[in-house]
Amino acid sequence: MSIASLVGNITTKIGTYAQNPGRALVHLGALGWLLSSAAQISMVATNKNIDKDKKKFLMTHEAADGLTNVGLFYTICAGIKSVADKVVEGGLLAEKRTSDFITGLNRIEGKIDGKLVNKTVQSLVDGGFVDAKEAKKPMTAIFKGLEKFVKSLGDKTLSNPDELKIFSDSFEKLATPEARQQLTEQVFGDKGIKNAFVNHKNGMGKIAAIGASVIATSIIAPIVRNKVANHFQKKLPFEQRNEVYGKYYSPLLKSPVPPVFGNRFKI
Amino acid sequence: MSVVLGTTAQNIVSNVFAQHISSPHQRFLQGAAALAVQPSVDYKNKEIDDDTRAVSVARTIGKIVAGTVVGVAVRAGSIGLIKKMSQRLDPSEIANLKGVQKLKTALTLNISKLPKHLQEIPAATLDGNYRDTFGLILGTVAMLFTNFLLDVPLTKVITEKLTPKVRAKIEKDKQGGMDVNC
Repeated sequence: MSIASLVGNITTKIGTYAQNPGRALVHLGALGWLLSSAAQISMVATNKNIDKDKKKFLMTHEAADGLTNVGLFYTICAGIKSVADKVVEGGLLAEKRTSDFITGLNRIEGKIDGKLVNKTVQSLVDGGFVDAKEAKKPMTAIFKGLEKFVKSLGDKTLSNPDELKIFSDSFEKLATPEARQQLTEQVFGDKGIKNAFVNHKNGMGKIAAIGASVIATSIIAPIVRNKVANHFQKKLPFEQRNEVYGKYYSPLLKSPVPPVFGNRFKI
Repeated sequence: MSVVLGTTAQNIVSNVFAQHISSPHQRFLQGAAALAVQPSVDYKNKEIDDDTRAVSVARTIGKIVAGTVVGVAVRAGSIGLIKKMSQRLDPSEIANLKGVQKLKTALTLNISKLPKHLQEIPAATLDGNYRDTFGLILGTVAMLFTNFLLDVPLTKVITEKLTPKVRAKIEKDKQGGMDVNC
């Protein structure tokens, strides 16, 4: 494989992965914590001034600290991001053009709701335009299924709503090739409804990921880390604590006496 | 029940966040929240002596400020570098690139190789997400080194500068408290 094709493969993989930016912020944020913890452990492991017993103790503490950071960050961020995705995909927090489009398609007044979204997806599943797995992301499934449905009509001009089977409420929008072309542009064009929905979903995903990461790293993790630190602190006799944490502690990211310990005994 | 966002809220979600907010902003917000919460927790910890408390507060501020400044700069720099190396030029412009100029398109995303459902998304959105994520990956690797080279010395400088000031504030607060009691 040439370097150019290797670079091409890497950029394609990153380009594909990057299109869910909220997810990327969560994954790479967790990776950052993981690498930072690995660096801490390796700093302790390679420090020749630390004797074997203390090294073992500090490395165990570092590993527990790292696990707390990575675990809390990932579970909180991934959890909140997942809830945000479900809320957006289920149409519970909707973008106006998307809401108007789905209600228009079903000839219903007012806002979309979960029931209407599910009913629309179910029609597409029943018609064989979306499979059950895809239906777990209802709004995305509607766009995908609708595109397939419109293509399935080909160049036909329909004369009555019964011929459509699904979306018969939108007969006039789907009856002729010209009307379908207009609908396709309205939905799938560059500034179309589908891209408005994608932007809405990406924006909500980022808000969820960033909000969750702020809560996780700045508020919850420091509290839990204090508890982990207390646990390790209690394992050492008082007179050894300053020696172990004060003199030898990794200077990488934390203080010679980490803040959590700085609150507990003199430097 | 469903909530449909109003125009301003939708603009913030779809334009500001989706198009312009990425990992440097995330790091900045994390730092700002940490700065708002953690130093005051350390400052209010009356179980320790004043000297330790002053160092603890200064050190916490130092770590947060250094980590945030370096973190934001590294992420923004990495994204900027990827942006410079993933420009979308016309074929005629690409043909005229010579020597190091060829780096301008060395990491440009080939949209035709993406899965079909992504190819329908506008190129500007695809490129924006791609550059932000690639930059963050690069920044994450770079931070393994900048943690050693920049965070540690910067934290030390800030801590040393701030400790006397925090100590003075603690003293002032104590005297103020005594006056009230008297």
